[in-house]
Amino acid sequence: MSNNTKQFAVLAEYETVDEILSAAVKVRDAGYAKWDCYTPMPVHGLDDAMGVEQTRLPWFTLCAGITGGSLGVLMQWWMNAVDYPFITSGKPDWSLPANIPIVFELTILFSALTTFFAMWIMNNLPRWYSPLSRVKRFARATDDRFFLAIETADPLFDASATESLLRETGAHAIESVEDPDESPTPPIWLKHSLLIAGTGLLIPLMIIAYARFNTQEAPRVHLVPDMDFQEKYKAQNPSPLFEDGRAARAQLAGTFAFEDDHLILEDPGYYTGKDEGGDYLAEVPIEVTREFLERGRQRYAINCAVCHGYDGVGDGTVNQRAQSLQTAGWIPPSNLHQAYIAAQPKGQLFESITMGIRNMPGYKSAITTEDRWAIVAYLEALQGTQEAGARQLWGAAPSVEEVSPSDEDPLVAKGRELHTTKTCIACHSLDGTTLVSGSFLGLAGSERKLTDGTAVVADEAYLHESIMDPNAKIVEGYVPGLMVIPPISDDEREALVAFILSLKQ
Amino acid sequence: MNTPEVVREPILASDTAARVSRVGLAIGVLGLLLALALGASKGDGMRHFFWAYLVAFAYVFTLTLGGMFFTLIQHATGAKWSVSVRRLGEFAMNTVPLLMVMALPFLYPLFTHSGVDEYGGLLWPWIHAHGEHAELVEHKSPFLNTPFFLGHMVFYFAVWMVISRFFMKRSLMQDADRDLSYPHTVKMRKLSAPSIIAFALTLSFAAFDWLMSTDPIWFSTIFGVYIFAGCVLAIHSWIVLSSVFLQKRGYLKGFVNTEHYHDLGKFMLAFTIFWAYIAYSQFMLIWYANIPEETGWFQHRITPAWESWSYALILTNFAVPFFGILSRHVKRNKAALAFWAAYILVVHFIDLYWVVMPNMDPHNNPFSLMDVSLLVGMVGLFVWAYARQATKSSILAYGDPKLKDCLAHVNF
Ligand code: HEC
Repeated sequence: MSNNTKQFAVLAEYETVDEILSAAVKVRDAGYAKWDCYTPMPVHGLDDAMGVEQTRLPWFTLCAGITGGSLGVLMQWWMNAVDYPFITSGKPDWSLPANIPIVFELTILFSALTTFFAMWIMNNLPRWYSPLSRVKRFARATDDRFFLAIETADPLFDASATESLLRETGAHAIESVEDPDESPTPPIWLKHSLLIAGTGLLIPLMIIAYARFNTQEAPRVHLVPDMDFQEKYKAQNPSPLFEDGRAARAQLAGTFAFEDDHLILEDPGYYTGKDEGGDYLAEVPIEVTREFLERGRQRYAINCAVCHGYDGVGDGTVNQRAQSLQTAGWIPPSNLHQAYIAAQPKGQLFESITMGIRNMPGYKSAITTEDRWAIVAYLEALQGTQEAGARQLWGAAPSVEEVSPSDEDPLVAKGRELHTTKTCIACHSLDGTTLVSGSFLGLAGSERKLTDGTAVVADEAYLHESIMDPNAKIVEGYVPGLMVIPPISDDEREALVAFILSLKQ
Repeated sequence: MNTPEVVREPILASDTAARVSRVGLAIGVLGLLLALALGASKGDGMRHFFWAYLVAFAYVFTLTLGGMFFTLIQHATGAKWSVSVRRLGEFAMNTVPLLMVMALPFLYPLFTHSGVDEYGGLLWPWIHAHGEHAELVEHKSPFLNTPFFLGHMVFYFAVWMVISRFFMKRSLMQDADRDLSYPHTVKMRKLSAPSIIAFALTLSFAAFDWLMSTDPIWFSTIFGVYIFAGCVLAIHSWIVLSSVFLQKRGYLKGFVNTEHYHDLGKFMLAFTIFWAYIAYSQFMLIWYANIPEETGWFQHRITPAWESWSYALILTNFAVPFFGILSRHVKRNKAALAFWAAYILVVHFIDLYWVVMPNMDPHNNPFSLMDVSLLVGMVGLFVWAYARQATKSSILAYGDPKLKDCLAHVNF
């Protein structure tokens, strides 16, 4: 320890509240600035006696609260209305009532943290140590004695004058406080634990960074299973509650459907994709501009690409995962480039998106009417990219006749129709591409390798058997049980087989 | 600060109190008579009158029950700051008998058959279930039926009677008592906690019975808390106004000082926020879930007739008073605080009117002179019952052992 100590303050000790109060008044009136009182409990009136001014802390709190609240609004406006608009629960993109709780919380959070840290800063905290704590008698400041210390740093400080002032105030003891002037260092254990805690704080950040730049194989952890897997009735579920056994109530007779605050009756084509006569609109009823297509592309990427893929072939991430899990009964998203889809009137596509189709849910409540039309318009462009050679990029879609020649055998034509309606098309394409399973193009007459090492020719009998009992002969690469088909009558099977045979190459 | 020496002596304001109570009685009688005449002239078989009467009744009810909560919570927490104004809360609490008498006119709509054909009854629509939702309301009849309703009412009043009598009497006994073990203080502290539970349940269910059932289809479990928020807000404002008035007349000088006003103001601010918080909690869940039997209530309040009233409510009862009372300087300024107290007591009526009246007619806002004169009349009667107690009893709980601490209390 160096001997280079210098005086830090003069400390006066008092025994009662009244003594310290009157002493504080005297010191205040003498004009000192750097001094303080130390008491074992809060003493009412001491602030006044010391001439402590009203704190400016509330202003920090107010500003922080206003900042927090405005940030809360801005943040949610940006996220919900600008950066990633996504309709939830049928509310507008940016819906103020839903923002209030977060605005409220941020207001409180900002005010509370600001108050806390501003208070620290205004009190010169954190501080390792005060020279006062070296004085033995000062320990009683937490017990039963009252102290007043005037620091040497005060411009009015004068060793003898200050001391005599304190003596006049009736101090019971006066002591000079020395500061050894060695910069105090925090204890080693404190350094170490702070270091460990600081490093520990980096761990969550690293986990976040890792997750941000890596894909995860394992499914997510469900922290709140109740919320992730709610027990609830969905639209078509049965429910014992109602007489008709349906969970959802049917619309009352005479109900007028509304969409975007308009009666659907006003413009059925626009809202449903079908005109008054019930026929699909052939074209998008909105002028298709570049912006409109861009909008469609963006909406498609947000809402459809997870299943149908960005390119529309039906291999989005949802499908990839289902395939890798080999989910039995999985109906893959359709390849949107199939001729029969490209040939559909625009109104029909619109209806598929709006109401859903077979296994695909409807998107009426999630995508606005105009955006659904934008997606339809974009789909045409998307389909065009795949057949640029076969037809004009921006020209008309191939007519239905082109796809199914009218001079076709009626049985084959029926089979062609069944191929779509009985959902074969979901897995078996007609153009040679492999969807979930092999294409029907050139299937008939080809040689099939079976898992038992033998081979068969796909003749008429084989085709019949495969439809009736998909697992009778297992082709290499086929997962038994994968094929799930709706009931098919003998006549229909006849037609389907005829159709497949017609695709012989 | 000129802190008065705590000499254990009553502070009597008998003359002033007698004068105030006479004025209150006169205003009360005149207001009610005027309202009766106006109500009869409407030619609706007094239907509007009874609905407006329910609003005015609810107003007095929130003041009385607010006083009860104020008294109970001070005992339960052993609060020191409030000792010098607690008697004013006790006086408000002790007007339960008046509230009982005020409830008697409800027997008429409960039992009469007049107005049934035209409007389905004069007040609560469940008395004679009618209209398109009659079947739904019928389903609630095990709870919403006249005998059970009256049974509840008697029960609530019995509970409130016991609580208010007990805490008033003991507080007066505490004043007179010189026993240094303070048996009355201890007894009140012990019983305040269970009384608060009884208070919370009865207040909630009274709010359900009397106010929420004006729309018998709608339900909201937080509704009782909403009314409670109004009670606490109203009573703090009432106490501020009373004590400012008394000090103007030269009473309580030095006993109620800046620090006490500051604290009362803090509660006014806190419960302005609390009221908004609860109102919003109620709104947001209903808005978000969007279930027809719940949204109906708000639907009735955004009709062209009520829409502006609803939006005004957000401003008058939250935004304006929030920024008005936020500053410490306002709370420590007697005149400013008195202004805001009066303001809150006015907008409290806007709130209760909004709770009840759209259920009478969602498509028509009937606000008229009669509503005002009924309110003024009923508050006049409340003032009469409130001030009359001060003619006999001290307006300061001078025997409370915490009084000395109360007077030495300062806010940092
Ligand atoms: C959850 C996955 C999923 C999403 C998201 C999805 N789809 Fe589908 N979609 C499917 C499935 C599965 C099918 C096939 C349904 C079947 O055959 O049962 C399908 C079929 C289709 C079809 C074929 C209809 C027909 O006539 O055969 C079209 C067109 C289509 N989707 C368009 C869209 C558009 C546009 C979007 C974006 C708004 C979209 N899909 C979003 C899963 C999805």
